[in-house]
Amino acid sequence: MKYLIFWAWGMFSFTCAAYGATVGCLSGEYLVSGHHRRGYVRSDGTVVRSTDVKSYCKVLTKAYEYSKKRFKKGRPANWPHNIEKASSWTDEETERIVEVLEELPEVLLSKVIVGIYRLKRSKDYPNPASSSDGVIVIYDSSFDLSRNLGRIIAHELSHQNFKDLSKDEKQDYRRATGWRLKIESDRNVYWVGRKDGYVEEDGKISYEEDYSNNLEHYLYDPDKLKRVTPSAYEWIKKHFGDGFQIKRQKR
Amino acid sequence: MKFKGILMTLFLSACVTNTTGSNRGSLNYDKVRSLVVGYSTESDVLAVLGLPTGRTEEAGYYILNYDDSKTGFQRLSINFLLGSQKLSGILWIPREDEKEYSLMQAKAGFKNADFKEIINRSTNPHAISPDEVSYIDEKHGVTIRYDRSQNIVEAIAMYDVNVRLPAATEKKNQIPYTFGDEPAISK
Repeated sequence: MKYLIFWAWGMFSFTCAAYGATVGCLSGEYLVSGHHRRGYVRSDGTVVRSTDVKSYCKVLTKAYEYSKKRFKKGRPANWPHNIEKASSWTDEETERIVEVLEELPEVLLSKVIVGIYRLKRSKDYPNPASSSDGVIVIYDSSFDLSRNLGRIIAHELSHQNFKDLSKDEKQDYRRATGWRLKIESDRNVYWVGRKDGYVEEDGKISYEEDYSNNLEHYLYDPDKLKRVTPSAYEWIKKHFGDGFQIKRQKR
Repeated sequence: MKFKGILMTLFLSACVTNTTGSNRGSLNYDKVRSLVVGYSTESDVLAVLGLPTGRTEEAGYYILNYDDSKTGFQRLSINFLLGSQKLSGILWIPREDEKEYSLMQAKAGFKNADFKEIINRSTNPHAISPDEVSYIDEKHGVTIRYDRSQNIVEAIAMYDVNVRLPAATEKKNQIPYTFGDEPAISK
């Protein structure tokens, strides 16, 4: 009998050690399985060292609930870039994405987005991420040490946010930031942006790219946006209100 | 053309007293269509439409802009050649309560036109968007920019086919994408 109790206790300890907090996760929590985490830099500049993360229970957040339904396998349906191959999500990567979503304003978590996909390498490497209506694609390079994952995700969510705006809201953004329709030399009509005042050069290509760059900067580098494109800064501030900012987590 | 000119003169004589810009809020397509590309002058335009909201200049052209008085949204832009001051292009942006907001109605406004569908593929490598569609009749100088995803007409352009239109200020396909290449450590 003594041996039996000793054996049972041993088995219980082993199970707990092997499965971490599975047994102990309370309602309102979820299990983060043990994984190796590479070193990275948080959006606020904090350096996070490489380590082996043990399984633990984490409090459920809206960001987690939002993302768990959306992490998808394979390639998005009708994805136009056929040479881009699917990759698998790791626990490390999904945790990093959840961490980023937790710091972003909830208004960016669009219900229209149905899938966050993981592909290997962009056809336009080193492009770290892409989007189309309802879909976000994350490539390997998003997780490079030199990349700011928060800004990457904020930028892609901003593309969707623009698509989700009403027709009048889109018009109002274009009005405020100097986008106008023009007849050009090839007899076609194009949206042409203001002459200067772009936080990133590629904002000149389309108002949607401009919008995404500006929203990303409003959240992560507001001083630059205020200095370079004050009209966009004011529009975003008025449109989203004071709560539209990064939520710095206490860790 | 002569007949059109006489008609326009008659129309303008009815409007000539209204040059204060007070009709900014009552811009409509009929007034715009009464202007004759390659013939009308700035005075004719002011007589029909009143004072513009703004005026810009670029590469041999000047443009009179008429924006919506309530929303400030672009409604109409009229190009003039700097030298001759002849109207060389009109760009009309219809609202949803106007009949030319529908592609069929917009096309019907140009009975002799033979439109070619031109598709501009989206070139943004990291934001896949629907292609842009335009219907162009180069012979008559008409372009209808159409938003296929919303099934609406974004703009109608009428221009002088004998005049070179302003070139794009910057070739968009030569602008590199930056891919958010900001340093991760910002502090």
